Amino acid sequence: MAEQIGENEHQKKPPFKEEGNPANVINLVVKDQTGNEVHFKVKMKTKLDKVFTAYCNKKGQDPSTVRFLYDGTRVHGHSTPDELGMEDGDVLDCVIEQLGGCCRA
Amino acid sequence: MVDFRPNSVLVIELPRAKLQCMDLGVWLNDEVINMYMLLLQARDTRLRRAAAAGGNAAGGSASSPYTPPRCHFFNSFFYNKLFQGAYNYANVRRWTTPKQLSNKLQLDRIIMPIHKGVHWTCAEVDLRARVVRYYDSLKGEDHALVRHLLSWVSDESADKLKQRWDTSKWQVEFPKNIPEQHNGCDCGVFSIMFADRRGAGLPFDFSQRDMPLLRIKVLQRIVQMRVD
Repeated sequence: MAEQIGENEHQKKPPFKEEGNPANVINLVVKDQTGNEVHFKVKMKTKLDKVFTAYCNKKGQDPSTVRFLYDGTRVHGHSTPDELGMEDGDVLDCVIEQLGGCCRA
Repeated sequence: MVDFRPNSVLVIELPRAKLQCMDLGVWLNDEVINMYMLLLQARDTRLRRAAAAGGNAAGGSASSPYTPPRCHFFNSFFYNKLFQGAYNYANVRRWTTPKQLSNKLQLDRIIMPIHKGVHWTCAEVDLRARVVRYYDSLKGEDHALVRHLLSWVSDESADKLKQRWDTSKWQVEFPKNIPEQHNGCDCGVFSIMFADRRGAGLPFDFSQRDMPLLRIKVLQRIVQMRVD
């Protein structure tokens, strides 16, 4: 199920206010390491922070333990889809932090 | 806060708290390892630019005929996406899109840190010698991993070059004559240094004894956002 992210998040404004401009909203897919997907509708100028926070809330994840990758490149919450040149249907990979020291107990 | 902006799109922010893993005896996290890989990539770009300008490659030092290999550094999540319970090329197909630089397969080496649950190692695809090497500071061997990387080279060539390379005859190596880890915390530093030296085409000139100093050096390079 797709979630609306952006100014409509808290239903302060009527949904799809800018429907006249469909290029303004894209669908983004956040995929975790087991392949599960969560779909978001995002405005091109919305900071991805909103997507990340919504995703972590939904999944019960601590935001400091996950990273989001777009085509393998780490993306940060202050970027917008517009800045990253994202297109409708693009996938963000959500990966979990890695720690390592040795393989012997 | 380390704020690294190698190009107009990529912004890497690394809070100081994440750097505390560089302290003695602490396990390294992916943020530090991947930040170092970005710095190695930036070094690679500088070296190539210097070489193209006809000048000397090694950061300004004069007069050696040394030509560093052209490398690409993947981050530590590459292999985790390539192999998610099963080999899956589609997961990483877009990690090497045409808009990102040139084709990765035309380079000399592809280097990546490997995260294995609680252990860091380093893998290298040598595209010139047609060898996949796996550097493990504890001398472990991961035969499935090198097989997956060979499959990736084959799939990547079919996808990006439209011409499938037969990698079945490629060699795999698990070098044993490499610096060895003698404790339970430094493998991340070893992995970083394997990538660093291989990326510059230099020999492994460090050992377990150097780890306390190397931890400081790695931290310093990250804070200064430059590896030479």
